[in-house]
Amino acid sequence: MAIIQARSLTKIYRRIKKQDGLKGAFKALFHREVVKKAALDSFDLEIDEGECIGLIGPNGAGKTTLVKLLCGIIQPTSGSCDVLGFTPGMLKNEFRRSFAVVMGQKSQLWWDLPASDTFALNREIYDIPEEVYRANMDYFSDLFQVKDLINVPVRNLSLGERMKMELIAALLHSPRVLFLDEPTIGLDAIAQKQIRQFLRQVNQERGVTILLTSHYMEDIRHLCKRTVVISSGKKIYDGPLDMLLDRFQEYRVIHVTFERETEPQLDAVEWVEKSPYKAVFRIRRDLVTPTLQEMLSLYDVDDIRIEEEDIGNVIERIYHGENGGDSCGQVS
Amino acid sequence: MVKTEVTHVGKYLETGKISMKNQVAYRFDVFVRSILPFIRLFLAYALWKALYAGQSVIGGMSFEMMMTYYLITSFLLRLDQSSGLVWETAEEIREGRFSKYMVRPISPLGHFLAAGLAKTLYVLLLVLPAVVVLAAFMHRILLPPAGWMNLAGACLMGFMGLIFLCLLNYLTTMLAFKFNDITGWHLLKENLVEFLSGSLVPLSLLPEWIQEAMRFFPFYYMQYLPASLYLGLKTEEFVPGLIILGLWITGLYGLSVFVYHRFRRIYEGVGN
Repeated sequence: MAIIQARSLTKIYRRIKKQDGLKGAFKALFHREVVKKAALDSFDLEIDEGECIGLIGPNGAGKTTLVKLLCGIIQPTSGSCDVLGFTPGMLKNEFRRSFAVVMGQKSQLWWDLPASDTFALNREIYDIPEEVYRANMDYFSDLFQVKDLINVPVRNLSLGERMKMELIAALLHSPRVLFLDEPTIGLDAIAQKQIRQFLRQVNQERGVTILLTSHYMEDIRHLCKRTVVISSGKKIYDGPLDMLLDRFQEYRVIHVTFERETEPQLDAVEWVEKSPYKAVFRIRRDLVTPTLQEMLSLYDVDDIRIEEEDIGNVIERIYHGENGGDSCGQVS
Repeated sequence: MVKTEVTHVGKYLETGKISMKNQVAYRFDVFVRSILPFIRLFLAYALWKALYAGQSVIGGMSFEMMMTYYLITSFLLRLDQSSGLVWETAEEIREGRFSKYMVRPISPLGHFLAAGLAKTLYVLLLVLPAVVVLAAFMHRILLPPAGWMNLAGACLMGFMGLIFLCLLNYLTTMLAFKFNDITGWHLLKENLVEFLSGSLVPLSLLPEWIQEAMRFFPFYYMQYLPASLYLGLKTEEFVPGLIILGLWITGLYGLSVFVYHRFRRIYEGVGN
């Protein structure tokens, strides 16, 4: 049964447009041009309890706006949404006790104090019973292995450690729904991996419903069976991630380093970078194996790294209906 | 629609506690701030001593009375720390960081009051050594209270004045939802409060009709009346003062809650 529903959800922002220069600045004191921009346009979504949904899309697509609407931070211009039986915008206390939100670039931790102080504050704010608080603290600090860091001032923690503390602070009151907006942004590969594992465990062991936005394909791949692609405020894909990638991720980017100076010559590749010891090229996915075989037979290769195509390109392709127009049956 | 904002006290006590801890996070800052009251005391003494050179009474007040009046009003004015929170909170609204109060079951007003009063308590602790020194070694320039009832009345009035200022500052902060930058509003409010409360110039130096008009405004009762009560003056105004200040606090509380619920609907929570 769906615990999160959005029906024709629309959010239009009003922006003030000013003319350039000093004259424009003074002119704006008397007259301002207001332009409207739809950040979310007739958006429909249903999420069942226990699901982990990945929300992907380029910058400005409307991902964060959707999260803010579902949390009640902002109000819809039209349409409606329902989270756990509540209208988010009303910000009822019972509603606020039942979910948590973590935004990668906005912290709820007190910068000059240890995270333990924020945890203690949240215990009071959410009225968490002592035994539940203790059990959750033990569970999460074990899972993240951060017991030694809880009493260190937040300002002295690394970015990854801070994000772990943010997640613990968000989950202490055992929310049923967790909204995550770019939780791994700026983190190194190890911290990203730890956070993914943590979220996976929280989703699977505790049944917490997760809506995750991320620019990193690995986050979505590791955590979400279902993916929603959003572009210019509209939903353009809603379905399994594998199907999305199979269908629309046409290219791979190959990084090759050589043992000696090499001037590689290959057919059907688009060169991104060429230097005496290194080459980077983009190639169609079905040509990866034969091309690499050819390369290994012709040159002294030291190392090869295969990268997935940038998610922005994939979305652009879906949006422009390449590869079979509306071939993606899940698009609503 | 006005509804009760502050219901569960524990979370606000914890907010106060964490705000207080935040105040003492840096040792040097604590050290400097604990010295400042002594410097201000010395400067005030030097200034008023110079003004009283060759005169024993100004505006009907002796040097001792004026010093006592000045010290009490400036002390009460400094006790209000919520005006510092205006900038912090308005910045949070502008930058979209205010969302953290909206998504957690806590009243932003309750949080603001708790943080403001915690800061006040901290300032009180810092000022306490200066008060002790003043009482022990400079008792000739600080007159004792006219009586214990006068002291209690002055404290109660001063506390209510602080609550009023906290609410006024919260209301000013809420304007950031609508206007984004509230520098102009804040400066206007600061200047008005400073003048109308008598902390800039004793109200007794102003024309009679202005003093009469002031009695209907809360500012008169925030610093001027507590200082007067302490000195044993204007005691007949204590009860009317309590009623007027109480009415202003109730009205401002209602208005603050209303404005928040109204203005949060236009909040955009910018950024990720």
